[in-house]
Amino acid sequence: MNPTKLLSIQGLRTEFPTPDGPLAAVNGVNLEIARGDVLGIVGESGSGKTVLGLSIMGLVDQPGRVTAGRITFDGTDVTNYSEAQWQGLRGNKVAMIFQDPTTSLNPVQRIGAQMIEAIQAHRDISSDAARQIVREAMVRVGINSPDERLEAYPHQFSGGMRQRVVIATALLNAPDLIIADEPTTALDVTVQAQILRDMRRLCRDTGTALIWISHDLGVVAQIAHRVAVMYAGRIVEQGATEEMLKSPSHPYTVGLMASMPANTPRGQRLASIPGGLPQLSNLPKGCSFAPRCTHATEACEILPDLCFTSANHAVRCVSPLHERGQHATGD
Amino acid sequence: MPQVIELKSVHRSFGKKTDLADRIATAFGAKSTAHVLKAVDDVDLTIEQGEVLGLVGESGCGKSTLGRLVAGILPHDSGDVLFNGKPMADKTKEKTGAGLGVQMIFQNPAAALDPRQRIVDAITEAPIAHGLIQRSEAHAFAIEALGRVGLREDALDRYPHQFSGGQRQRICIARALAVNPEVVVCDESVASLDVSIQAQIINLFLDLRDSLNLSYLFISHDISVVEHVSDRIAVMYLGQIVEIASASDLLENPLHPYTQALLSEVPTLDKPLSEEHALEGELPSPLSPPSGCRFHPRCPIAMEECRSLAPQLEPRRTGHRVSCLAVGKEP
Repeated sequence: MNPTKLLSIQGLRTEFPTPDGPLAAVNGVNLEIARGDVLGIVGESGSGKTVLGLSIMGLVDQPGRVTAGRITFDGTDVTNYSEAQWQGLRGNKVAMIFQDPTTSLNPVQRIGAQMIEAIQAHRDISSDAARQIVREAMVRVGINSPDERLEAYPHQFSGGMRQRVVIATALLNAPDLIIADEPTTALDVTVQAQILRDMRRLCRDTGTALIWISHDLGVVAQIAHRVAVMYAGRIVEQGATEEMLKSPSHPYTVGLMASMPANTPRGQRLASIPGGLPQLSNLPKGCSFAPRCTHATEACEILPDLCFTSANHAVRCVSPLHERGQHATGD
Repeated sequence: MPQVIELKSVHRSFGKKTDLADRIATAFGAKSTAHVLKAVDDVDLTIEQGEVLGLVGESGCGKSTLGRLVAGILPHDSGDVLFNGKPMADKTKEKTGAGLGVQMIFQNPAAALDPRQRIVDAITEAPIAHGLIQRSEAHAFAIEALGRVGLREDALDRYPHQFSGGQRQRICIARALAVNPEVVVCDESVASLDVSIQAQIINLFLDLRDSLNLSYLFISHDISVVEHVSDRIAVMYLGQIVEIASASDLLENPLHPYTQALLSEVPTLDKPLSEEHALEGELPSPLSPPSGCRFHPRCPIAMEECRSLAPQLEPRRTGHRVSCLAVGKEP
């Protein structure tokens, strides 16, 4: 086991039973993340990015379950952890931040009490000492005068402040890994920018590894060192952020970037990807994207592997666009 | 170009009116407790025929209220809302034929459609009720209306839950267009859609504008979307318009410090976010807006007089109006 790898996922498959047969929301995902690394996971709704995050946290609800693969955290295989074992890990070594801070906080408990509870659940520590840790965490996420704020209830905070509280709570036990699932999607662009900066700085200062899940490629580009693009439960492209954005190679990634309004001159038609996501319970044979792909050939009837096209860039496509030189990046 | 929509110093407040108990309490010396939220405070605005006017601002700035005033589904307190030079009919009071010229498309198409109404009925209900078509023509009319938004005839007898999010929004668009409006108010109409689907709907909006000579009030928190579709853009802050200009002028040369901050905080693929916050804090409570210029507590270039003096929306260049004392000071 490579000691620098904090989290390693091999062949992860998470299924949900449906009347039409099992549905693989996560379908053979391999991922590795090192300490201090920031990995962005991008995909549209239904791509499996949220279930992937939940699977890593052992939070997949029944009747869904991880049916194959292995999750290794800090050298320990946690795939078959019991709920009690997960509880020792969650909020302690691994923390999660969800999209809606309102539902993450208890509305009838003071902020301070909730945060102190999160520390005392994992550590035998006095309330006064815990309160001091809470204060420091709040200052770190930009909440001034923490002493007053600790006595407040969640409804007395704005949406952006609530998300800061959730982030501060995630930091309390100095986790090795934070998984953030669309943490800024519900926030205004100015608040989103503030939180992006804070998270970027926190990861740099504390060496915490971060998995940032988002539908917004623009947001991920601001924070992630590496990006993985998911489509229909599989990673279709993965690479160092800058390299991947400069030379996207999977037709889906290319299409996704082309449909962003910011990348098209004003008033011109946007390049949209025809059709919609395939049904996960009835995936097309071979490449899942082939039915929507303008470059699809017979060769796409066999599922391609995620193959490296350069040292930092891997693509799941039989004929990646960049290699063929079909996608010029504007220069 | 003739103006289809004209707003003259329009006001709209929400809140509790003083009742008997309040008046008695005040008479006995209690402080007045009436809370009034000025959602739209003295707004002048025009939309020309065939024009797309974008409206941006953070949540709580009053942009949705303004959209509802323009659509005539919310009465205004004072000022004039003119449609083709005549006062807008109050849709909440008048009955048939009133205010069909302005239609609205909402954010969540699932909530905007009756789950138990077939698509054919959803589309033809309004034109039949207003006497635009006969019941016998409904079928053929619905086929044509669906064709306009890229849906096929087989959609007619289905129910909303049988469609994807993007298709449902197409149905809402077909329904809004069924009464031949001249103006369409789009309130976050693409916000809930995935980026590749969002591109399809934005293209549809642009195509329909060309083929039907529609005017749009396009409200969105997403500046890159507004930038893409709009001819002119208005920026709103705490119930007031602080800057309005042609889309290219506003984006390339924003004058108001709020607009400048808002634009710099949009995450993009090509440039990293600056390390410093462009804007501190969040939108103040609209229940008690700051004195003078409402932006002064967050403004990086605020001067002493900004605390007491409220700026007016004044032209600085051709077609570019700004409400800022500091901008006016420049040579």
